[in-house]
Amino acid sequence: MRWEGRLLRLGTGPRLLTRPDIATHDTRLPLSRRHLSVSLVCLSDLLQTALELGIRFYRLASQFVPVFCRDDLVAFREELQESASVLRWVAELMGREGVRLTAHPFLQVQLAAAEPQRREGALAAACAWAELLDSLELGPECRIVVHAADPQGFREGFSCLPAAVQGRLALENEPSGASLATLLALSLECSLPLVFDYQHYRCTGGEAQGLAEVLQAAWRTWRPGERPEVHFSTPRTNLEHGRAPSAVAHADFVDPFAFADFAATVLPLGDCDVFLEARAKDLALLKLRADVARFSGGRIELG
Amino acid sequence: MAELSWGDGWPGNDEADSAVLVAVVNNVEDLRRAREEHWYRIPLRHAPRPLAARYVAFYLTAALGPERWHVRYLAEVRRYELRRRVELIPSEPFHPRSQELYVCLRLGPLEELPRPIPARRLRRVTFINTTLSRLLAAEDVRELFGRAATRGAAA
Repeated sequence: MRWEGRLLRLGTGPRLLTRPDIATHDTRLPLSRRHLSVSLVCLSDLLQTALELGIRFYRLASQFVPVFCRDDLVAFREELQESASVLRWVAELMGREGVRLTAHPFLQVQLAAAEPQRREGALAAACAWAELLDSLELGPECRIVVHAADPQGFREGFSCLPAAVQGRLALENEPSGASLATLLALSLECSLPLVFDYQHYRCTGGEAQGLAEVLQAAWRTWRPGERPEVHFSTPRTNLEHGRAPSAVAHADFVDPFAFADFAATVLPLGDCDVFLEARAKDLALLKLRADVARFSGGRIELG
Repeated sequence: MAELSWGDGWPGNDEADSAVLVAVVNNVEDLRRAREEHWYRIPLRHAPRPLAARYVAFYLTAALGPERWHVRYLAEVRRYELRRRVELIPSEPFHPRSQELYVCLRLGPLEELPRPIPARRLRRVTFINTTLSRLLAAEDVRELFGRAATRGAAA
């Protein structure tokens, strides 16, 4: 998507609903039967399909890295070595096509966990994810997006990570809990970029009028040359089992008018990549492209 | 659906939608490698899409003599590697394609299908993406075509 020369790239994943036959990862059971190389070949299939749809921003499935403790990390590192040739192949594909990957294993990487076993698991998972992204030769803007939950707990967990792993993380604002201001301060303190989530921002009472200022603050957490990652979604509004949906729940598709207003605020700030957290995945992305083209009267040019 | 008897208890009926890649074996040596050394190779430049599959089934061409023109064998795909031909077949260092990259599928034990699938009319087979349930129910290779697995390669 382009507007007056600025580029706004849309992303989706892990599943591609246009190709439900392609798995996002090795799903065999028990977990001991899985192998990273199988997941990587699945990823290659998905990326090639995404590229045909003009999608170059993709989220990895959280199950891609089945690491929940230190022993799992040891086994995963062995698989990274065993999968070296496939990692190179996928890395070449992404480099050649300019694909950006992101990951959002927020349940797996809970650095603020108080219980020691859970924290150890979070640290092991963070290391595994970072080593995977490094093995895929991904640029520094490709991040593992996590939630801080408790800022003080997050600081303690974060400080236990090697610097190289710290450098692969990013924080995301949450629909409740720590305020955006607190998270921005934590981001700057830890030298972490902030991934701005629009729906979470609106759920905490953020107003559209203050959006530009908030986005500018989020943009400043990203290093020069790194395209900010943003999450966009609109809430579900359909009646479900006789009850109203939660404002936090993601709609299947994206409200094109809300997105157009958002894009008009975002684009003057610079290029960025917008991950659409819509349940209809690539179908939602394709529909949004078509909708924006139709409703923008040509103001917003689709890339 | 007919159940296969596998030594380690898989696949079961819960894997009916598992993706199967039907691939071609056109020489005795490749079948031997799949059976004894547990691997099969696909030239990277000819690799099908999607490539990922839980199982690979082998269609045997005329070169396989009495077993020809049937899909007879099935193996689990356990991992993938990319290797140059000379690394996979070091005994042929001067083969014209010795430096070409291949996708090497590391396989589980080769198992014979309870009911081999004939190709009564369609004989020129390349790759077919299908499902385990379709494979076990098919009475002709032509029935393997169509909608592929909906739960994905390793589901």
